Amino acid sequence: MIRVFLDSSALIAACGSASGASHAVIVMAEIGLFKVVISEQVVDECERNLMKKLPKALPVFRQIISTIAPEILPNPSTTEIEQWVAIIEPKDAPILPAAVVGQVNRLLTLNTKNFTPEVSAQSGLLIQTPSEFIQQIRALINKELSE
Amino acid sequence: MSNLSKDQELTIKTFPLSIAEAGQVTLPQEVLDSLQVSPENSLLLLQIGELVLLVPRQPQVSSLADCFVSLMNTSQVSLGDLLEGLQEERQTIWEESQHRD
Repeated sequence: MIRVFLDSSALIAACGSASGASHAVIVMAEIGLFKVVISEQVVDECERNLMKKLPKALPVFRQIISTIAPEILPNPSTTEIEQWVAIIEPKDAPILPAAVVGQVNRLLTLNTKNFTPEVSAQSGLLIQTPSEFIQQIRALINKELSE
Repeated sequence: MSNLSKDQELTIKTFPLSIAEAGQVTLPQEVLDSLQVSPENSLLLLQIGELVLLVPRQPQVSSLADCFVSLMNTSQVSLGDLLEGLQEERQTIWEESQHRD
């Protein structure tokens, strides 16, 4: 099954907008089209953020996580993270080794400022926005239908 | 460092369907068998943009997201606020890790 790593931006957008591409991603994950993968840090960031800005939504967030049943990867070690600091903004570096070790097929993020095509090329990870991923699925289906 | 992600193929089958006067369609037996449903069961038609999927169970995340959005509206917190907050939390976690080491 296709393994899709959701960065915290994509995960929060999936919860906070029922009409966006991020939400479509978790709906498709729930019905079993692919497996969502996240890291412990992604959960930590989302929960800390909600605790500060929207604490009432924390139980709902946890229900959403439970429903999509993601694989939650352990955070990479400091040594692993250090290898990636040179190619991306340091604070974002822990996400890359988690996704690489998790052998995901895609990393979906809304943070196109830091998760650039150069980062994609240097990490070997296919990095997309949720919208690009949905468009790719549509294109794939259209291609299949036209053959 | 490079670990090129492999792109896996999706298995896609197509089944031409005719729509009867009242909008009814007949699903092929192969589809019913693969979904493990029989004529008494109900299915959910899920539309995502131009994409239409027929699934054997109701996804729960949409109603949960509606609840989440309702709480955002009540608290006057926008998605932009939450996304901005995530960047701050990521920076904080990074700084905490630097102080630990």
